Amino acid sequence: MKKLFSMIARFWGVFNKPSKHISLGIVTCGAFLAGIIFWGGFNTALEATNTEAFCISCHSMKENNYQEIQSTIHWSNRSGVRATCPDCHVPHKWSDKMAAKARASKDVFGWLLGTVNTKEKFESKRLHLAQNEWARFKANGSLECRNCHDYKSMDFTKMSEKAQVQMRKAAERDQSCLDCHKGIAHNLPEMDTTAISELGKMAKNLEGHSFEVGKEYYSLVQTPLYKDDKETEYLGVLTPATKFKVIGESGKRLQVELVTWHKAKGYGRVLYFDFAKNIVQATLSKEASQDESLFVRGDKKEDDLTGLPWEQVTFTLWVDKKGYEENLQNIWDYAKDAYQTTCSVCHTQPAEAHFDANTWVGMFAGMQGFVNLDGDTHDVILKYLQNHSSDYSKDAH
Amino acid sequence: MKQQTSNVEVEKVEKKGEWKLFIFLTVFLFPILATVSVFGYGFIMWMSNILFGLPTH
Repeated sequence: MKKLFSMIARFWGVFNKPSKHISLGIVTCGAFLAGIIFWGGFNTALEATNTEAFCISCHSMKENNYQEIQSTIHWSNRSGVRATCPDCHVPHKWSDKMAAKARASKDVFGWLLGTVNTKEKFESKRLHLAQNEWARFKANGSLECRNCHDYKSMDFTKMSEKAQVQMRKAAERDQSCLDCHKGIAHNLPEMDTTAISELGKMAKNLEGHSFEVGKEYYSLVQTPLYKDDKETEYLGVLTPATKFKVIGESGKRLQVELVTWHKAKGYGRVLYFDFAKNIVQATLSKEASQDESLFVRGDKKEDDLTGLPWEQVTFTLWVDKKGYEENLQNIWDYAKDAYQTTCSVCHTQPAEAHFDANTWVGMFAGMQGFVNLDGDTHDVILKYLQNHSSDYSKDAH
Repeated sequence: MKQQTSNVEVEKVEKKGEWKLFIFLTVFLFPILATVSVFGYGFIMWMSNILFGLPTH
């Protein structure tokens, strides 16, 4: 230690005085050259950390993010322009770039400690990681997207009509790309774990309540259907928000009556809410849909539009004693809320009664690719829209 | 005569010391300081982003 201090003191003595033996020319030339070499080297090193090869030199990047982008348009497309990792994830502005590099030093620690070194660990962190990037894109208005994509250079007439409507509006508001286009280069995280637990939670809260024979209840989540009070094999599944009447109970099961419609052509495996309306109540196995002991036939009508014969059927089946809702409005309140929050991320959502029940199916199918809804929430929103569509609404268009 | 040789000796040591420090500064210390200060700048930017929000456009 003492030695080190004396060395520093000696160096300081030399440092602090004009040089006696090295000429000023050599000192400035040497410093100048060293400066050039350093600057070049620094930039080369910085560039090296800005290459895809560097990014995927870490196992979790190579196995997850890098694999995922390969199925997207940013990897391979008709124009042959490809986005590499830094194109989207490293800012161009120097100070922001340095901040990004400093922030990335945290990833190095993650790599050393093996924070995301397995698929499971990566998946459990995916939402958190994605949210970091989403926050960045939200703040800078998706600047890195717009280094290539520019509203001013978009020819809206070349877009499909549906896309035009959305894109023109977005351009008007100078909207951030990722407001709608999340999950286009890497898999979306399971986002609506809150939403799934919402319906699941409602069901859980109602568990243990007693059931009254002769009373009607509504399913909250996808609910398995059984043949009797013991059989463990499913005959089919009820969708959420489906009405049934309890007609008996035994042990852990309820005997229920389901008044529905099916197409009297083919197996009729899908049970619908109403005549000629594509509102799914339940789907059955082929065997169950053919088992005459399970249902009673009712009215038969032909749908003029499709020429298909429809038949009312009343099924008697069994469900587990789980949480079921007595008040349908509670389910609709949740669905309405989920519809408004999920869909308004990208656009003002159309009024429920703007379309009829069958049109909503296609509309909804076209949109669900933009969001990541769990099955129950997906079903319940669609059903909410259909049940409040122009077919059923009093103030329809 | 003896005085002179010792002066030459001292000068030799001084010259060696100057060269040693020159190489040390240009090759090691200053490049390291420069790199550290750039990283430090990045770190400050990062922290300020956390405190005052992410860069806007």
